[in-house]
Amino acid sequence: MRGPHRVRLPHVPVPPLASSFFTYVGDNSDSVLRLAWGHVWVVALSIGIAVVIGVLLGVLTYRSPLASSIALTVSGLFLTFPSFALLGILLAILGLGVTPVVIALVLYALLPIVSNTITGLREVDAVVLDSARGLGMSPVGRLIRVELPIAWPVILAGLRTATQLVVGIAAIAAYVNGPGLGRFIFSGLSQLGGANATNQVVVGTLGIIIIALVFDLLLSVVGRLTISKGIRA
Amino acid sequence: MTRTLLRLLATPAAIVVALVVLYWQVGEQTNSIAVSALAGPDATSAHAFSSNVITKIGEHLKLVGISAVFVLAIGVPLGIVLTRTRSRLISIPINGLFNAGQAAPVIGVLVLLVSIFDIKSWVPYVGLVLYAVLPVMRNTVEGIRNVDPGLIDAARGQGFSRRQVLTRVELPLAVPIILSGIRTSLVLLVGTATLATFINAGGLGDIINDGIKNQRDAVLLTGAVLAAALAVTIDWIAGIAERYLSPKGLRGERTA
Amino acid sequence: MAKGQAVEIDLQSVTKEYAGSSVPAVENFSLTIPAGEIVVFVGPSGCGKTTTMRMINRLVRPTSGRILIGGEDAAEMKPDVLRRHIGYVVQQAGLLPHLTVRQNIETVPKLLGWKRDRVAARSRELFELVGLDEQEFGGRYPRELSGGQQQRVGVARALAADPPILLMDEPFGALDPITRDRLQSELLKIQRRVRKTIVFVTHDIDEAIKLGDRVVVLKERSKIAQAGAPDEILAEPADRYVRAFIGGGAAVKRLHLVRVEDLDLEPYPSFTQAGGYEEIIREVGTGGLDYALLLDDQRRPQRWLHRDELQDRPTDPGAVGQAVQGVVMATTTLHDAMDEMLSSGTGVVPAVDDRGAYIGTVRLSQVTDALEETHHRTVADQSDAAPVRTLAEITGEIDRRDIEAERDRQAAAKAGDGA
Ligand SMILES: Nc1ncnc2c1ncn2[C@@H]1O[C@H](COP(=O)(O)OP(=O)(O)OP(=O)(O)O)[C@@H](O)[C@H]1O
Ligand SMILES: [Mg+2]
Repeated sequence: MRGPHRVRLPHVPVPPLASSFFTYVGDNSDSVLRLAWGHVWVVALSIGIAVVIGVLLGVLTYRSPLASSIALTVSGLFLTFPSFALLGILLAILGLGVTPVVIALVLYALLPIVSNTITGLREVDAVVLDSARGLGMSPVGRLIRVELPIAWPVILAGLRTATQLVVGIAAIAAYVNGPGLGRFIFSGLSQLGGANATNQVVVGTLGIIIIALVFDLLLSVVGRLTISKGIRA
Repeated sequence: MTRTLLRLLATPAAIVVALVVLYWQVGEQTNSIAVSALAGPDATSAHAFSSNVITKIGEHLKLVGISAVFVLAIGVPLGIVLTRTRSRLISIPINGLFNAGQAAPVIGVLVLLVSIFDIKSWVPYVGLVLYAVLPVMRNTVEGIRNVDPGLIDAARGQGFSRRQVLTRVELPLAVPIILSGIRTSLVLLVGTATLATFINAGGLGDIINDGIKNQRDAVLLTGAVLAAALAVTIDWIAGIAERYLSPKGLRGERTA
Repeated sequence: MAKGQAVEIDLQSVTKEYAGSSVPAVENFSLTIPAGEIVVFVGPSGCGKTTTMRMINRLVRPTSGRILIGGEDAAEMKPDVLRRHIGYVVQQAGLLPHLTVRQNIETVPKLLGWKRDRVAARSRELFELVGLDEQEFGGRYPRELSGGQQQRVGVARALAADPPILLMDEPFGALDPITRDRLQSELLKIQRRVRKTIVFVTHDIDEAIKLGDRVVVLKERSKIAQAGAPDEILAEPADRYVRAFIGGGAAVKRLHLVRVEDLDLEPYPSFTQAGGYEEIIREVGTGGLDYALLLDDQRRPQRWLHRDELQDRPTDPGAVGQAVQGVVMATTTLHDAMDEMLSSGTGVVPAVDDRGAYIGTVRLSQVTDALEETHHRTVADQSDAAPVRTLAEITGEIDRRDIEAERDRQAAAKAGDGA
């Protein structure tokens, strides 16, 4: 790696970050809020779709080793793809806009959700299932009243992982006209050295971190409210 | 046996198919923008594997390779250090860092780094390493914490010193988990390296970006498919390494 | 600490208080463990057996008190070095899963920096000592072994550097009763060869009685309720606590303490090949017996031949009579010998030495006589303990099974099953 041999203090653009940063956020609160909202919205939408598809895939495949390994391999493949590359491929196929972004985010969210759904459902104790059968529950009844509730904590954990992932990737989506705080980062990038470049990048980055943490907090609250006390760790 | 062999060969087969399809789809490009992106400004025609593409693959591999060395050199020792102390003073802030680090968007971190340090050749490496070191560190900690305390006790009882317990018991037993962390890191590195283009650090991201900016789908697809193929290939190699580098006594079925 | 030579362990007013716990786990514990003996700590769960034992190799550091090992203060030795000279065996064997059986066994010699040939020679010896085939098991990984085999490896590993002391914490606790029994017997056999000072922890009083030269019955905070030879403890339990801990069947338990070699073995007539029948028939006749025993060329018992079958003067004696159902070793306890007779359904079993050669026979009545004797000695102390099974019950069971077995055997013989 080439680089300076002398240790140099970082060159911080004037004026001092702290004061001007808050001024900047204050002056631009409209667009900050609008883009933050866009970010939240696109993430929520993608995760919502991914949950439906992912849990469905998990439920449909968890009994068959072959089907579940195919489901896991395929969704694992998407997770391996670099996000910028996947966005690029979808862009080539679907053009600019929200649709390719949402599709890409859904594909990324699938693996954690599918794999945790399969794991969670497989871990349901056979004895419990047997007694549910003994009570005369139908297969669908068993799934809804016994298996999914017991697997729920594991599924929810997958959901949390997926959300963290997707919040970050949505930042890149701004480059292909996706909504969200990534816009600040790219706009800062395009004005590098300009007066507000660093402020913009910091707003985008911090905002995304905050959104990720808030989502995580929300999901953990959802967990507290929805996981039966009997199986809470 | 045949099943593992199949699984072993399925991935490279799929990669080859994807590359062939890419080559065929992109075909012979004569448009000057596409040619310049794929083969450089002086060429007259180009295809998916023209000289500039090969250069970019090289740059990409360099970004990933050098960062990977630092990730290993930093992540594993740091993980070990974290398990040596029971002090909450260290473990709580570190956990916070893990979480915030995971929530931070890579692109933001990269751009922030250049906005502070300007564009320098080492900046992309710092960003990549910062981001990819987390899984290795976390898995090292987890792998060591997972070792059965009874085993450690038995080893202490045999007269292993603390250092010997670490090098002969804890680390070997943590190897599978550490390796899987390294695998995750490598895939992350290939992915983040595509973003290096935004801070003028080269790699396959350049080609994707060229394609997007100039609206040349052939170029965009070339960059994107190659980056994806690279990620899958590295994941595949790491998967094999994971399998064969894990201590023999810990893997596979009973052979008895 | 002299290598190999067993040493005395002296615990002097040892106390251990774990941080954050108001009562000490071990309180003022004093005991001298003589060189070359097996001392068994027995007591209920949580009474402090493990803690007491682990202070000897300093896996637990005593809060106060002194521990002398071969006269030296253990606190003054470097813990790692100390531990390399004290073998340590735990319940789940604690083998390192990523190392082969051989590598596991060679761990401590390598830590001690032995030369390669010496390590190899030693591990060969150890495989032989614990009865595992080196070729077959040396290259395997622990998870490719059964629990019993793992525990053999655990014992081999602990003995590898020929330490003067062996600490064993419920080493057989996780095994099935049959395997446990076999490993207990083998431990005794090994101990006769190696003569270590062994501290053995268990909560199974039967195991304590079978293995211990001395048994130390502990109660909470590792207080010694009684310490003494197993026989003493069974015969004269110090208090209600000990009596309750011994539980019922003390008389039967005492059969653990008598070995086949302690009996006057009856010299049943035996022969090794066809011919010379006159003399054997005469021997059988004068002894007022019904059977003679056929041995192979290494004098291992093969078949029982009835005197009627001897009258026929068979040219191939191996084709007539009944195959010997079970044999007992000279070192087998009467308890196990009785077990053998009950399960093989014979009232008489041949006894053999280390190499399996015939040395005489044990008769069920000899066992019941011994039982009678110990029963009379203990019954007086048992007034408020759980009732012992009466002798009649036990012998009745033996007689019945004996008769049933005989009937089966005759039926089988009639069906022409000679092999
Ligand atoms: N590391 C520790 N920290 C705190 N307390 C401990 C620790 N180890 C043991 N104790 C406590 O000390 C007491 C004695 O424990 P010890 O393990 O010596 O019992 P034990 O007789 O070996 O029991 P068991 O038969 O169940 O193995 C128990 O009350 C236990 O809870
Ligand atoms: Mg214990």
